[in-house]
Amino acid sequence: MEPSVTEYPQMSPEEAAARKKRNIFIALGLVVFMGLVFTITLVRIRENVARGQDWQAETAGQQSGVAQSGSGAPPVTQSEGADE
Amino acid sequence: MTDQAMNTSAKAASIRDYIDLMKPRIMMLVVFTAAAGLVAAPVDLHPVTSFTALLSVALGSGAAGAINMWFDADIDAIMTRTATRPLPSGRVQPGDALSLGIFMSMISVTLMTLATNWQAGALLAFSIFFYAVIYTMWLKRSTSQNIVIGGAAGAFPPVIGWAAATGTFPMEAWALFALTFVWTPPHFWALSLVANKDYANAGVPMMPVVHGAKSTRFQILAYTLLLLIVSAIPTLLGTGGLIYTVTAALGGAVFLGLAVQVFLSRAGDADMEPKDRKIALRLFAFSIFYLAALFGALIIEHATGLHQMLPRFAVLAGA
Repeated sequence: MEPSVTEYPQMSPEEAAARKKRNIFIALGLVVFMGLVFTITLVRIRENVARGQDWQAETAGQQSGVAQSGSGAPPVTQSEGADE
Repeated sequence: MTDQAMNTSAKAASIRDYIDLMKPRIMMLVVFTAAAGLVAAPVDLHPVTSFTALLSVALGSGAAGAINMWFDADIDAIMTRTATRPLPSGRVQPGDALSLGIFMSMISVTLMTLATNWQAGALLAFSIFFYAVIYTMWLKRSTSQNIVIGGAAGAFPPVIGWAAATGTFPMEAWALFALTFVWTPPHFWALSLVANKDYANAGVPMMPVVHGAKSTRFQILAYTLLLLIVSAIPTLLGTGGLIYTVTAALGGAVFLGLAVQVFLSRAGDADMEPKDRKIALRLFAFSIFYLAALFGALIIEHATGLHQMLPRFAVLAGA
């Protein structure tokens, strides 16, 4: 019984070059994707931190206003951002 | 995979072939209309977020185009206009095109959702599904209204852009949807009048094939009149200012003039002359310019703030 030999298709130099080019583009695409996700994360964190600071400042302002007026009414907060 | 198959698949598959799979010309118009929705929305996005949203729309459009080419490879091979596409010419394997389409769909929706909000991501996913499944796999081969209903797929981008900025789908965004939706039939039927033999050979029930050239020419005129009315809605809602209104009026007048010429011509008939063919192709070419000009006017007005400085005619604003 002869041992089985796996036959692989042989690529021409042009085909190998085309495959190498495609692989480089895929690698670049992945790097860009990772960079984009990282940058988006930073931007969204900054936006949410800024939004949180605004909310804190607004809440503090309302509470001081309530203390000064002495009305005792609970502060009203307004949620911002449809997806937050 | 056999040697022969290997040779067929990789012989000439270049990056250019994969770009062609994504229908880059359609992609450009889609990104442009999405940008108009993004800019016209009353919320300023961070430049990185805006860029990512438009990139997601581009990738989604390319994904839908690749899936469309994968499914339509059999009829593309029959039609002269599409026979040289990467799949029918054998430069790209069907499985590669489908993989690219599915992979890019997932990437585009993920990016859009991460960068903006789930509403924009969901609408982008739905628009890809609408084009790849509802239009390509179902409507295109089953009804002469394929372009009318399927036109919705190409009309979603401005709504996606608006949703990316605000997370909402207001009336103003749907007015831009209506503009592209009503524009699609006269735009595409002008081309199908010229290519109706191709569609007949491939068994695709386009309007001229099913109802004849005369009926198609009449419907082009009817949809053009409807388009003139719909193009006024952004003005009435306050989305479009003076520049948009003037562009829509002048562009609409030329569009109507060309549609009347097509209506009076014999474009699409068996005895069509070269001048009739030219008239139909002129309408097709101008329709692309018309849509780009209208959305370009919106972008210029909102990017520069001119829509607030110049006179507006918003009688329906806040309705």
